[in-house]
Formats: sequence, structure tokens, C-alpha cells
Amino acid sequence: MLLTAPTNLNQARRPDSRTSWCEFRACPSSTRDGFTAAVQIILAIIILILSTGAVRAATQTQLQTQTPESSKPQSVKNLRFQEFFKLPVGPRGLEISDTLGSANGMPVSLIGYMVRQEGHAAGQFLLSPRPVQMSEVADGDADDLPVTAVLVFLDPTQKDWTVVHNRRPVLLNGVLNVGRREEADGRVSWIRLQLGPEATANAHVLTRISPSRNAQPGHE
Amino acid sequence: MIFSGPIQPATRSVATLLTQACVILAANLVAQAATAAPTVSRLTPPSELFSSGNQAPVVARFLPGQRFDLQATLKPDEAWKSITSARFIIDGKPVDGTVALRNCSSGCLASVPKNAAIVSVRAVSVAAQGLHTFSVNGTQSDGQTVSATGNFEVVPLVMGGKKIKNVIIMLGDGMGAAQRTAARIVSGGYAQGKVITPLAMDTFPVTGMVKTASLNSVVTDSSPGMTSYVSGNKNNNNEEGVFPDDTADAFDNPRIEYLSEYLHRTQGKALGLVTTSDVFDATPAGNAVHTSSRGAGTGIVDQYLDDRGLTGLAVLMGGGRKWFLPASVPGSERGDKTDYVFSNSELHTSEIVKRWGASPGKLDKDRDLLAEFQAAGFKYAADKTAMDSIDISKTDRLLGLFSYSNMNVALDKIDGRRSKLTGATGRVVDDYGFPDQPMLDEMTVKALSVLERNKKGFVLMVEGASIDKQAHNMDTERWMLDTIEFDRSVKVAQEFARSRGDTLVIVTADHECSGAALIGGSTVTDTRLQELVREGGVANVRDSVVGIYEKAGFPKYRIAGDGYPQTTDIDYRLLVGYGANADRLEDWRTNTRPLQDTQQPFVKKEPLAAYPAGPKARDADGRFAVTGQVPGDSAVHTATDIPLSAFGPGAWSFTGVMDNTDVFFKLAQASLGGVVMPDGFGKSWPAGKEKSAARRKSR
Repeated sequence: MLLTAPTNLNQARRPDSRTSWCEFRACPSSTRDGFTAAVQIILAIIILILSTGAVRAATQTQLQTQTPESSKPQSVKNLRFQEFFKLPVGPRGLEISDTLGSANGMPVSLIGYMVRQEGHAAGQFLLSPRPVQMSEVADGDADDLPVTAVLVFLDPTQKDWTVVHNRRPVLLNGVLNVGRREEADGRVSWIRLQLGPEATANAHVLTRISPSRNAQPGHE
Repeated sequence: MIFSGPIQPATRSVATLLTQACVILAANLVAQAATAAPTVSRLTPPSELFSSGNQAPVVARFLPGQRFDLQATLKPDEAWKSITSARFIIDGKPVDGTVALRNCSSGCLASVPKNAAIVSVRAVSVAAQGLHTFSVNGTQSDGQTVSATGNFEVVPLVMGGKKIKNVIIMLGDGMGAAQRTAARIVSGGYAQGKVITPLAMDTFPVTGMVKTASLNSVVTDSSPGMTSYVSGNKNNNNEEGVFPDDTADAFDNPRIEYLSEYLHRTQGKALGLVTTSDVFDATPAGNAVHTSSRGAGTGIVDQYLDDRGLTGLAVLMGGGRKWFLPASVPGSERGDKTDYVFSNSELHTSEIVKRWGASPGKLDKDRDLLAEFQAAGFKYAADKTAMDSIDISKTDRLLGLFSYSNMNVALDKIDGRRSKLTGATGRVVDDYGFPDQPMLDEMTVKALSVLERNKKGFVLMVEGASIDKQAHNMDTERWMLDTIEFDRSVKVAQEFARSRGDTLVIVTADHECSGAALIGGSTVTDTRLQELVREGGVANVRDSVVGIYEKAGFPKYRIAGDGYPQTTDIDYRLLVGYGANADRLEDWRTNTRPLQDTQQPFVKKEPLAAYPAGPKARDADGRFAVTGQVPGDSAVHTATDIPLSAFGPGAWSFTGVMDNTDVFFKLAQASLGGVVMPDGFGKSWPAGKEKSAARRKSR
């Protein structure tokens, strides 16, 4: 059930990192370069054992994706993708619902799937109501991304981090921003979510992440 | 180093060596300067003569008078030099037309030096049939010159036959022989090895095989797959109606005139495009739009309207409304980065406008293209009800945009219609927000009714798009039913052609998808299959189910009054395997809900929330894992030849094994030169053999 089983981990990695190490843990640039796989494994074990606040602060890399209901501020609104637009579709375009419009600029929580992308843009990823795989290199904007997809930004202090893909649904807390914006890659975003710095902390290191496997363009 | 005082022997020796080395280095530099020369790194149209020095095979071929761009990339031999002038020569004669010289100081590919020049002459044509050589001659700023030569062919037309009036191209995207056979077994049935009811495409009198390679791969994608049929030339994958170039601009590539453009310019024919996909997708766009980026949606849909004077576009139907809405409307995908505008001062692009008569484009994300289509005389239909209500007697142009992106597949559209009859709601089409989508055959009927009003004839392309898309997903029943839906459209076209006698219909694909193979039939009932799936594992889901050879029998699907199977979950069902598969889990049963098509805006409605996410998630119950031979989550296109069937006057030319570009010249022959029998047909025996046969008969 989507709404009751959010995963508790997403992870971040550097834009140029390969999958092995950062599939398990996102790495600050200064901690990863030059390490061999063996050293990385050892380091991972150390991190597991010494998961103190100081250690986490030093290697703050993982995306906090679950916030218990009890710990949420009262003002955080639980938002659902299906509330974004009005039905049925008329002869022209979409209509933003009052629910989505009123949440603009507000702190919200949202459950969705990370979009599997070929290119990992630093500091951001896409959240979708359904699992989506993109083939940006081959197809450009000819993709399967729903218009409800939310462009999620990490905290500006983490703009160099890239979040590793996770197959399972994730719960995010952040500030919602609604309105058209043409992003640097040419894609148009309508709904964005700004996460705070705590979003990449307190994740469970042992949760396995599916590696990004898409090595083929998705021709139609 | 500074020397002072007498030079010691050892030091003198080093100095001597250094001096000698400097002399040698200087001599080498001088020699290099004497032998260096500018080069031509690309010459368009592409040819083996330029690439390898071989005369054959001839790569580029054109009709007499068909327009194309000449282009070359010239590289100076030193960074401080430049290309100052160039000209093109065909068969020893200078080509008329302004030579545009674009320097690569910006906007070129990273592999091209900044001082390189791209030189072009736009919209050239050659009337004389036969093989031609062409050259580019360039001059560098120091006076050095460079030249390179290629070739192309102008294919002869045989004049004098009766010309066809209309061309219909039925394009089952990704539809190989397996997809056709599966549709036949499911919809027509077999009895003791004989087909009970053949597919419409099986009743076409002529069938050949098509080689599908693109300009840069044996495995094509849909862009060059389509454009080869309607331009006569190979394109690179992802490119539509253009040859590759060295700039980053997606709309400035060297163009090739499409069949629609050629026949509209010379005969006034109209163009119709009907698809079940987003209308900006590669196959429909590959009939009318010139771009090296199949994903440049804003520019592609703009060009449909803006260059309708070149293509004769009169009917455009499918999904993809998101590109037609101004940027201010929520969900609009229009944006400047997928759009284009030509410079009116730079000859490189302004000559496209001048010589082709093409639109210069505009960065206009706020454009209300839906309204502009209507202002240009297009009647607009947002659903089947609106389409049906359009008065054909007053309609010469029609735009139908029935979904936000791709239309729902046939299985789900039919399910929605059947459910509506029983009062059930919440079906897939309801969830997607578009419960009233037409079937492809219904769209085809309407398109033909509109196009038939053009007294000068038409070119119509009808695409069954989701045969390919569902084959990518390895969703067997969905591509089967989409193939059946496509064949029902073929039947519409066939009946139209039969009633008129002046229309040529071809049915083919652009490529095969997924390496689908009909491996046999289930040996168990559907009830038992479900039990085995629950038990799971290879022993149950494969070994206890898959019947091969005579154990496959003849699967029998009962067809409902609407023309589709009552259910696809029958006892002893048809089983399909995939040779170009990604990792997947298989349980053989119909996926009760589609794989997520998350281009759709209301995909997150509750009934959709339980939809499977991908091939592996879909059939996880059975735990029969099939290891993929390709990376990723989707099956892929294959290089396997595909069948092509033809009906109507000119059909006989489509026999044998042909290149995909040959199809263009066969269609053009029937349209321009008239219907002729292909070589080897209709001729009497050689005289000697004829006499021998007569003698044998007389004995």
C-alpha cells in the first residue's frame, strides 16, 4: 500500500560517482576520491558501527525520507498527487485544484517514487506518483513523465549531491512551489519541492538501493 | 642557460646537440607547413565515395527534381586560419544558389574546431536520372584550396503508366512477423492448421521483406524507420528528414524533401497523419518535420502548422495535447529549449527560409497552437463524440487531440467501452481522465472522409503506435490487441482502396520490436495456470505450462461483437517469448492493468495507484524470472527484417527483399510515373526457351 509503506532511505552521491559505493551511501566529495572498493567497504562498516551524531554530521549524505507523524509540525500538510488537478479533462488543458493552489509556498509532505533518470543532475531529482524511467539522452522531452511530477531540490548547501535512485516509494517533507518554470535542461516544471538540510540525514544505511541500470535509450 | 667564458668540451657538446635539435625541429615545422592543407571532414549527402573512396553502394538517392541540401564541413590546417569561400559542383558544373558559410566559433559540436566552416547550398535538385558526382571546393585564408567528392543517384521513373491518386501507409510500429502472426491466431483462429478468418493485411496480394537499417546502425529507431519510406534516404537514429551535421541546432540540418512535400508541390496532394501516440512522436513527425532531435516537441508541433504549406497537412489526429497549450496553461510542455528560430541574417538558416519556403520558426512558448490550428481552418475534436459530430461535408482540415500524451491502448479502450455498457466505472480510461477516446479504425474512417475531399489526392500515414510501446514493455496481450486494432484500420484502408481503384495501400512496420516469438501454447486451463502461478517457480510456471510443438495446439480466443477477444485469459492460451528482452518475471496471464504510462495527467487516481511499475514488478507472483539479454527495463528494437504487404494499383512492385528506402521510390513511381510491373514480371520467356516450351507442348 503506497501510503503506508514508505521507505526510509534515499541516498545521495556525487554527480560523477559510479554505483558501487554510493549505492549504499552518498559521499561527500572529499571522502570518496581515491578510495578503493575495499577501503570503502571498511569505511562503511565503521560508519555502521559508529553511527553517532558526530559521524553522521561529518558524512551527511543520505536523504531523510520519513518523518513520523508525531514529529511533524502542525502546519505541514499531507498532500497527494491525485489532488493536484481537477477532473475530468476538458477539451483544452489542466486545471490546478484549490488544494494544490492553497499549498503553494507551504510546508507539505508528499509520498511518491523517485524517477529513474539516465543523467543524475546534482542537487535535484524528480518525484512522481508512479515509477517512471526516463531515457533523456535518446528521447529528450519525449518521455513518460507525468505532469504531476515534482522537481525536488536538495538544500542549497547540498547542491553538489546527487540522490541515488530508490525503487520504493519515499516520503518527503519540504516547501511546495507551484507555477511554470523552465529548468536549465529545458524541461518545464510546474510543481517543485524544496527540501531542508535535514533531508539527507538520519537515513538507515543498511537499506539496499537498486543501482541505476538503465544503459539503453528508450526508443519508441 | 647563459654561458660565460670559454665553453668546456662537455658543455659545447650539449650546445651543439641543442642547436642541431632546433634546426631539425624547425625543418620539420617548415616541412609540415608545406604539406599541411585544409580538410573536408563531412560532405552531404552522405556517400561511400566520400567516406571510403568506393563508388558503391550509393547511399543517397533522390527522385528527379526532389530537393535536398548540399553541405560540407571544412577545417583549416592551422588554428589562426579560416575558410574564406567555398562552392559546390555537380557533374562538373557549379551549383546555382547562394553558398552559406557558417563559422564554428559557436554552436558547433565539440569535436569541430572553432575555425571550421560549414558551407551549404539549400534546396538543390537534379532532374537528370542516373549517377552523379558532386564536389565541394573550399579556399583557406592563405590561399590554399581543398576539395572532396561524393556521389548520389537520381532514380529513373518509368513514365506512361496509370498514376495512382492516393497513397496510404499503414505503419504498425514495431510490428514484425511475430506480432502479425499473434494477431492472426488471436483474432482469426486456426482449425487443423488452417486460418479461419485471416487478418485484413493477410489478404493483400503482395508481400515482401524490408531491410530496416538506418544511416548509423543496423538497429533503427522510429525516426529513420519512418523517414526512409517517405524520403528515400537513410537518416541517423533520432533524426527526421535530415542528414547529420556538425551543429548543435536541432533544426538547421541538411534537409531532404518528404514524399508529402514532393507530391504536394508537384501534384497538390494533401497529407494526413493519424496515430495512437503523441502526435509529436517520431513516426508521425517523420512525415512532415525536419529535425535532428525527435524530442524537440515544441518546434515539431509548430512546424506541423507553420509548414503546412509545404506538406499539405490536412489531418492530424492522436494524443499530445500538452504541446498545443500555451505555457500559461497548467501542464503545458511548451518551452523555448524544445523550440527553434532561424536567424534572418545568417545565411546558414535564412537560406532554409528563402530556398525551401519554410517557416523561420519562433521562440513562442506562449503560443496557443490549438487556437491557431482552428484559426487556420482545422476543425478540432477533443474526444470521439466530438470527432463523430464533425460534419464532413464542411470539413477540409481536422485536428484531433484525444489525450494529454499517448492515447490508451486498445485493450483498455475496449475494456472502458464494455464497462460503460454495464454501468461500471473506474476503468483505466476513466482513471486517465479520457474515457471517450476513439479506436484507430474509427480515426482512420474519419481521416479518409476528410482527405477524400481533396480532388488532387492525398498521402495518409496511419500508425498503430503502441504495438511497439507495449512490446517494449513485453506486455503481450496489449500489443496483441493493438495489432488487432491496427488490422481493423488496415481493413478500413483496404475497403477504401477497393471501392476507388486509384489508391495504393501498403502495410508494414518501421522495425521489429522485442524479438517477439510465438513459442507455443499453454497446456493448462487458466484456472490451473493461476494455481501454478501462486505456487511459483520455474517448475510450475514454465515446465508445467509451456507446450511446444504439437502440445501447443491451436489456442482458441472467442471474439466478441466489437471485434476483440471476449477475454485474453483463456484456457490453453498462446504463449510469447522475447529474444530482445530485459530482465523480467513472467506468469503468462494478462496484466489486468497497464504498465504505468505516466505521461498521463491523472495517473495517480486511486485505481491506478495499484498499477504495476515495471516488467519485474508486474508478474512477481509467479517468481519465474527470465534473465534479460539487454540492459535496462525495456525490450529493444531488433535488426530483423519485417514484412510489407501491398494492395491496390502498384502493389506488385513491393515483392522481394527490399531496402526501406526502396519503398519511397516504389510509391513515387506509382504516383508520378504510373503503375508498372517490376523487373521480372510480365515478360515473356526468353525466345529460346519459349520455342522449346512450344515444341514440348506440340509433342
